Amino acid sequence: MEIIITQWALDSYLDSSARMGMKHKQVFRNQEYVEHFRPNVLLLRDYPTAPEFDNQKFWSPAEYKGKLIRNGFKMKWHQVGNGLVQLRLPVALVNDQAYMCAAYVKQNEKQEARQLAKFKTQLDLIQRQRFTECGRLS
Amino acid sequence: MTTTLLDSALRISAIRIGNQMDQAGLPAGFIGDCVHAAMEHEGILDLMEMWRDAESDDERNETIADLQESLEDIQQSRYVESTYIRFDDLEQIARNVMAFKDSLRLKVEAQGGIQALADKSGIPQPSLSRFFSSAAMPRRLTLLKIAKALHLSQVDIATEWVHDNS
Repeated sequence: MEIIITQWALDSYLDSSARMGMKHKQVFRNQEYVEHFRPNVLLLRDYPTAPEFDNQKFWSPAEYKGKLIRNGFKMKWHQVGNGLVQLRLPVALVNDQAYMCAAYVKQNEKQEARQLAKFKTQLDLIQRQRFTECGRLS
Repeated sequence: MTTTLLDSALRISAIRIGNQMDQAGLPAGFIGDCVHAAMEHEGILDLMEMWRDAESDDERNETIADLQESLEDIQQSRYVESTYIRFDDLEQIARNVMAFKDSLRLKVEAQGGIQALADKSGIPQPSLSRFFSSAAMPRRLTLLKIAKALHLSQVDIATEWVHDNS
């Protein structure tokens, strides 16, 4: 499976939901990206056979108000960086390709619901080929 | 038949929330765009419902800014392949984006500030506040709206780090 970096993913690294840039404001360190996040995301190349995808604490279907978002999933990291934040990466799996969407630091249920509502629209646009690709992860 | 009924209910819901937004004084163009987009994108209706159900001004403002972001997303009509950016370059790009927005903000302040720009551009004030405080790449169509409202030239809004969402 190919892993596509969308503009939403790129923007979320420049900024994030709480107006706290992830890299820009050091939500996580470069070392964590290199040793942890990047290898985790690269597991998508072997989706769904990699055993990590059976771990609900790491990977789960995305839901909005208890209803599954079709083709939508979340990659999850817990206690990240010095701030010990909960980092989430919504991923759209469409036509055997994985699209990284806008990552966010989970603050509370309402804020996460807003992020997932935006993710639903991003998924719509990916399926309609109305989005920007900023490269592929390999 | 069920789908039609559901669609009708959702449309009515979007229109009702649009009326509430109007009573709350949100820009007419923004409301119209929300209602129209909600007919096609469930995620936008979800955000409108969250605006309606918000329990504080902060929550309502965050939802408005999220709605504006989704409205900007759906303006994109085609697939665009952009250049790959290395992880190591992200920090510099974030700094460049913020420097550009800071210089634009000075022009906004010289013409009455964020609220005045909101009144002239039809972009809600919470969206503009987020725009100027975030390091996300500006959308070209948003920059054009700002330029038009402030009578700025192409040179004033020229930046390498822009997302072409036309």
